[in-house]
Amino acid sequence: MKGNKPMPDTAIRIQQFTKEYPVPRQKEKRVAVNNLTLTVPTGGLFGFLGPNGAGKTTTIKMLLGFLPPTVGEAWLFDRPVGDDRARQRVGYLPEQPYFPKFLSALEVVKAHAGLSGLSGSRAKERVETCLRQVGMWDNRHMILSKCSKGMTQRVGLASALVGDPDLLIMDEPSSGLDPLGRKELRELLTALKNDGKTIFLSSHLLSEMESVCDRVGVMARGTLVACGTPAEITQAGDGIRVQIESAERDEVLNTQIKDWGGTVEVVGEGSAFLRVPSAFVYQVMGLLETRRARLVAVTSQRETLEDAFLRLVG
Amino acid sequence: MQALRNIGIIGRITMLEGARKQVFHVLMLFAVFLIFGSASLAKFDQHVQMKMLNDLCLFCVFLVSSVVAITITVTGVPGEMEQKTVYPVIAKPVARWQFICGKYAGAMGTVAIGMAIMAATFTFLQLSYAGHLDMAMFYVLPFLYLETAILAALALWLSTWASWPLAWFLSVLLCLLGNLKFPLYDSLMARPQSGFNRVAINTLYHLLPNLESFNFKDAMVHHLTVPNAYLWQTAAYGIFYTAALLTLASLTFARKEL
Repeated sequence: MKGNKPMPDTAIRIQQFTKEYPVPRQKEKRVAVNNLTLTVPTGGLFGFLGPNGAGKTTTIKMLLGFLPPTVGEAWLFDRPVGDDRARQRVGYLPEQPYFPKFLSALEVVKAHAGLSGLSGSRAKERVETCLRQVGMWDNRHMILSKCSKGMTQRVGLASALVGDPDLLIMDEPSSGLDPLGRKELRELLTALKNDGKTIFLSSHLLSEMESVCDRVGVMARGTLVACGTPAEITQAGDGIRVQIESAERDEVLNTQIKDWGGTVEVVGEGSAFLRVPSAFVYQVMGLLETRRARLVAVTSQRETLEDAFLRLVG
Repeated sequence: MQALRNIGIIGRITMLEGARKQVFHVLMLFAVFLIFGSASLAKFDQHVQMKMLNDLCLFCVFLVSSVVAITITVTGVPGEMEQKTVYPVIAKPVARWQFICGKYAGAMGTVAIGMAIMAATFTFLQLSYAGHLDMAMFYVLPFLYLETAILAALALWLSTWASWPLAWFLSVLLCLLGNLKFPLYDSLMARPQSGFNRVAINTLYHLLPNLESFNFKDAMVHHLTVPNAYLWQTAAYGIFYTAALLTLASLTFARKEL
């Protein structure tokens, strides 16, 4: 059915999404998302970052048609989000998924297979594959009220995957998972990405995002403040850390480092860390030779996604 | 076809969930206890005893079915939103009206399970006391079910815009008004009313469901014959009223921010 249609180039296209909520007894409205324009190409993993209240979940809710935007439009695989068929190729994992608690894991995933349009042996096969993929096959008859948070999360993941969607929208997928579960999730995300799926993932776990995301968007106070590959976003803070030993405090060296936009941190008797942009690495080496300071170590001080995130939303 | 499948799947989940809840089991135990209890109350000569037994048993069936129907539907949609169970379902290609119809179908499935248990108990008592089955049961009980179907649709519509306690209260109130519609109307119109009041009373009279017309309990108790045409008319009225309420509920839910 879906295999016959050519895959559009963009999985998600958002144009000037704005969501305002009225504030009780006040004239002005609270802006949850402000003029968001974003394009997520087909294939790859897009990380949607932002602190609490940045507008990530509101954006996801608007994308899935749970909330109408005050202004703006969006398309999923070129279909407007208001069209129920737009969600035909989408799997969604909400933050801390909830399911009817008197149902078993198997019943829930089976129901979601049916809602995704699968039936018969194909549905049966997908249900088993997905429950095995998330490690819940052995506990498939367990009633959800007896499942742990992590197990419910796995059932949620299986329900999102069961329709074999081309686009997976995940809100904090690793919440509730233990370290092993997180590792398995990372492997699963990588496998899905390699399978050609598009994954749109919101998360607070930035170190995990950095290792798996192809592109990221950073939201702060309802506005998209940065969007690009992790390397593009972290580039501005790229630098080196140089550990030196010097017999005495060298004011000339300190002044020169500061002139290059770096910092000097004295850490003990005759020992210091210099932090400078990587563009000045050779000049620093020359300066150390001139000032007769002993070089102990040079390490790359590339800004992590977390550093960039803090810089952008701070 | 996928729309019908979606309704069926949501209905099945709702029914399984409803039938596995402890409160449902307690209500069923209570109903069976009430039906058996009514047998011990009806201690007269056999003719009067059977009339009382039928009367009390049918009242129990109506009471418990109505409570189950109202409670399940009134908490269904708000509960799904509060517990966020609605999100994974609505994120699938499922239209909002399909969700509403599915929830309704599931609730009515649970009511049907409950009614079947109560009907079985009632049948057992009838066979034990009278030695035969009163065939009127075969139309009295379906019409009681149709009455609860209207109540459930009403409760569902109320729950799409009101909080569940308010929706529950309004459903019970409308259930009472719907059953007392004729005497209430007659007593209000017998008094002198202003022109505005007369219009308001008449409007309410026509808008309120005529639940009393589904009550064939007296016909069964007193062995009266009900014309077939009247039965068909009442059934059509019940189905159209339910469909109208479900349409209203779907329209309200479609505009709701989740």
